[in-house]
Amino acid sequence: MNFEQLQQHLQQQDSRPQPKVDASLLLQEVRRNHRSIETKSFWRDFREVAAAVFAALYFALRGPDWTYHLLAVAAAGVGLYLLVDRLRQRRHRPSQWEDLRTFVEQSLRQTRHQTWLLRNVLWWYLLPLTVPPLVSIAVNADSLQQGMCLGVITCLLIFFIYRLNQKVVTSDIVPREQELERLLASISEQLSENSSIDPTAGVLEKQ
Amino acid sequence: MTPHEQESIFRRWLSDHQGLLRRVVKSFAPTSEDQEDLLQETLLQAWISLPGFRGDSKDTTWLYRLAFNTAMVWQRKEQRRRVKHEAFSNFVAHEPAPPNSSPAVDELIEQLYRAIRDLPKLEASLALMHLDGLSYREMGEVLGILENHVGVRLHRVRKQLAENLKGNDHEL
Repeated sequence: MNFEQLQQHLQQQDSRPQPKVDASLLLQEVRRNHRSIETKSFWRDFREVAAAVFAALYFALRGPDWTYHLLAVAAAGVGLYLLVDRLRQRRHRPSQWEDLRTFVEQSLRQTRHQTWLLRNVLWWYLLPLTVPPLVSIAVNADSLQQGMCLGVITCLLIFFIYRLNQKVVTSDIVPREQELERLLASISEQLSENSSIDPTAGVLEKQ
Repeated sequence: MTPHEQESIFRRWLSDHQGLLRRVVKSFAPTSEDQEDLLQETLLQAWISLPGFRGDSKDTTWLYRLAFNTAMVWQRKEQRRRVKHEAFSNFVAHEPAPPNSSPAVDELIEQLYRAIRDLPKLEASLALMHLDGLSYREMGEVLGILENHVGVRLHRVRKQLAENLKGNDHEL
């Protein structure tokens, strides 16, 4: 069987009667899924920012101790950074209706940003939130032993959260990034390879 | 686009282009469960993206773009975490009467889909659009590559597809 016959068989399948879909019921389901995604996304953002705002207010109102004020500023900074980043990413979300090349480029940009965020979680999230408590422990600890103990626990916690984030990068995000890179390379490879090829080659093939 | 227009276009596409969406889904997802899931995800993305449809490209070109883009980044495990889809079959009001087709042809089409799924993703997209009879210009518009590049790539795709179908007595 040749290509044209295969093509004919495949296209004939389309001329067969399609299953009759209950469009109203399906639309209801699609809308429900859409709402569910939006709600989940809103609450995820809200939780992260609200936690930071709550921590900032809590420490700001806790007392005149400067270490608390330091914590309040750090928490507010992290919350603001998260908020700005989420809003920026929402504006640059990949458009599903773009051509494949553009879509893959946009998706890759977004995935790389996720990698960057998690790889640098120590600098923009963990350290701002843990240095002030460490300073507070150092200043306010009753004894050196107690201070050391609390300090070690805090450092272990930071290390654990950091490792968890790096694991997500390695197991989930990097493989996806590599897949998108391969896909983009295969589209781009064609462009550079073919720049030296007779432009009528494709037309001849079609004939 | 008003919500009414959005709904009306969605319903029309569902009736006119269901076959296109099913073909894309079958070319990327191996099991029927995965196909149901990907089809639902594609419909969801179509609904979300519809307000961005300006009508400056053909319906089919726009839908091919959307369906391929969705299929390219679709990962079943993650999808399940994100949203639990109802099976598409739950929305089928009634199945059409069985057409007069031979089991041999049906098996051949299944083999063809398997062969397409064995291709790299970009090549699978090209193979499907080529089999569907899209012009080089339309294929270029969907993938974001030049028309003459489509031709050269298709030559390779036909060879690869023939390789994948080897032993089934299909010459391409």
